[in-house]
Amino acid sequence: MDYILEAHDLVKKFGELRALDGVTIRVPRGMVTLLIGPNGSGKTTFINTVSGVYKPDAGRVIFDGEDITDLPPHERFRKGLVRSFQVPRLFTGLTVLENTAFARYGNPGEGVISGILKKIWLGFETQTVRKAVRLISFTKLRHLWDKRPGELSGGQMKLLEVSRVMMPDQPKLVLMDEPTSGVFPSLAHEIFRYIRRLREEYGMTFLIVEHRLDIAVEYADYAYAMAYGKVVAEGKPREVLENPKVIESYLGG
Amino acid sequence: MSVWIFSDAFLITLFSFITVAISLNLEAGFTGIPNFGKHVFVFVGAFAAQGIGVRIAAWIYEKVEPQAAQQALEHLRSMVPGATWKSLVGAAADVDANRIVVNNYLRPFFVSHVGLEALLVVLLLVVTVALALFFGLIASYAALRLKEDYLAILLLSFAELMVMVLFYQSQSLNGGNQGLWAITFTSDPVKFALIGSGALAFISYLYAERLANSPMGRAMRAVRDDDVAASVFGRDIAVIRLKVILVSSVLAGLAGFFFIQNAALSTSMTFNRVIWTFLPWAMIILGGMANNLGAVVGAIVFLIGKRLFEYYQIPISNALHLGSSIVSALLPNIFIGIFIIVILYALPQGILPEKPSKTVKFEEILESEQGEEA
Ligand SMILES: Nc1ncnc2c1ncn2[C@@H]1O[C@H](COP(=O)(O)OP(=O)(O)OP(=O)(O)O)[C@@H](O)[C@H]1O
Ligand SMILES: [Mg+2]
Repeated sequence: MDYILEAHDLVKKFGELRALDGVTIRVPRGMVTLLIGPNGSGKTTFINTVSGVYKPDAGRVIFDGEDITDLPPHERFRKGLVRSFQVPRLFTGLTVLENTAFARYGNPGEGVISGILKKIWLGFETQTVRKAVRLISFTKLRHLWDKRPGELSGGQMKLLEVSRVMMPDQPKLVLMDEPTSGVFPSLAHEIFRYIRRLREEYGMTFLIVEHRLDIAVEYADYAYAMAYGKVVAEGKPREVLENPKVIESYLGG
Repeated sequence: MSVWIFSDAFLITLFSFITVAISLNLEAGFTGIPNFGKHVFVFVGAFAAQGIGVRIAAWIYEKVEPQAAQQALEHLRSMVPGATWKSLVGAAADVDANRIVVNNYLRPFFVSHVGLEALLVVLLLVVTVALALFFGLIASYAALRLKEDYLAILLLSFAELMVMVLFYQSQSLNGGNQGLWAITFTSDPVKFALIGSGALAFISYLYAERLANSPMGRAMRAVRDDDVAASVFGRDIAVIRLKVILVSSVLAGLAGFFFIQNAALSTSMTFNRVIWTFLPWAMIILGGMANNLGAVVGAIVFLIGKRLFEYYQIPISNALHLGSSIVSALLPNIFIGIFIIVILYALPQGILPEKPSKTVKFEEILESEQGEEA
């Protein structure tokens, strides 16, 4: 099996609490992998550690064959690792369209000199805004394009997070932290169908943290389940869901 | 009325503050860099025209007219025994000797050598830019490593250390507590200052507007709003902050250079934190953070308001029966304080709120891009 991401024995402590207690997760390339587990089991901490927002206390993160454990978030992004946030971290002063457009990296106009030379960036920027418009049309935010995040509902903020994470060019791995929480079911299905299509047509890889298992399980190829900072099961999504340890962790948690 | 409001000195001050407010707004309003040490970056330009400018000017004078320079020196030795050119222009133990050197010898020499004068202007502008970049680099070193609260205090401390301690205590750098005469230009330095500061304010505004409406403007605002999210989307926060600090420092330094042309004798304390840091902050808060026109409007409203209070200080003081108490003397400051508090309550966003970065014609693209409704 070819893995795009291999996290080995990750440990992350918050004081006495071991939020990650020796977590090993491998994400197969070109597939949609689910990461499930009850509240507080360490899923978000895992995403934060893999994306460089947190430094692990122990363990390594291998991405596309390269050890990225010590790289800052922006360098991980540039290697093709993209993530979204469970609690939206939107740019509060930027509009819906700007939030989405910003998520595409590589704009030649992001300099204090090149910025004022419109010729240099007009082409790239036009493409960027077009793509952003298409994405916010898909996530049903088009009519809110010039609104700021403060004017959106909770569900719309999540949809903006989803639009943002879909924006970067050809990511190798997209990590999504509960993309559909607070989103109405029909749109949640659409988002998962879209993810599925990106996987099928472009071979993109996803690792998705999701609580809405009824929806997510239809679209995933593989699943990991965590409890108390440890991986308790992995395998085919339905099998993982029926695993007694997983069921017990949900009941106990 | 027009006489006192629109005096040259007032306009030069106004133009200089417009540039500094725009520059501070790029850092604080757009990028979220709390630069509370702005005054040292303005001072840099004054230093280029004083401590450095006078030295270079004297050096040129000595090279071009060694005999005249020798005679001047002998004349000066009658005032300051054992004086050398170096001691007279640099470690100005005697501010009178320094005045005579600058006003009686150097200025007339350059006014009559237009080519050399132009060369010196260009040279000192280059020095200003270089010094501004150097100070900007020092400030960035901290800016890239510290959280915002610490950074604000650190930048303030850094500026205070420079302006109040290093440059104020050391005679040899910029005349210390006696100050130094700046090398000024043309036979009409006030006009030079007026045109220079006016052109700079205009160019700064055009520049900042273009930048604000570019992908860079959007990136700056993203870094300000959430630096973690910005770095997760591939941006090197340190690089973006560095670029903004450098360009803002250059604008502030140039503002100081033109401003000092009209305040030729001054110490580093002229560039104190109240005047050149707190006032520009008040201006951008009043005008509207992350709005360039807001910075301009803030500077204009603030300075005219301050001027009016100062002008009517005595009648107001009398009307309030304050006599000549300390309260009376502080009246303008008290009014400024009240003014800021009222504005913050009435207009928390400032006079002009932040606008989106208008990089391209969004409406046209929305029109043409129907999008994939899945
Ligand atoms: N920054 C932090 N500081 C201290 N404790 C934290 C921090 N982040 C997470 N924790 C703790 O670590 C544990 C794991 O949290 P985490 O957010 O990773 O869980 P999760 O699986 O994402 O849960 P949920 O399903 O509720 O999102 C929790 O007990 C949480 O309180
Ligand atoms: Mg979570």
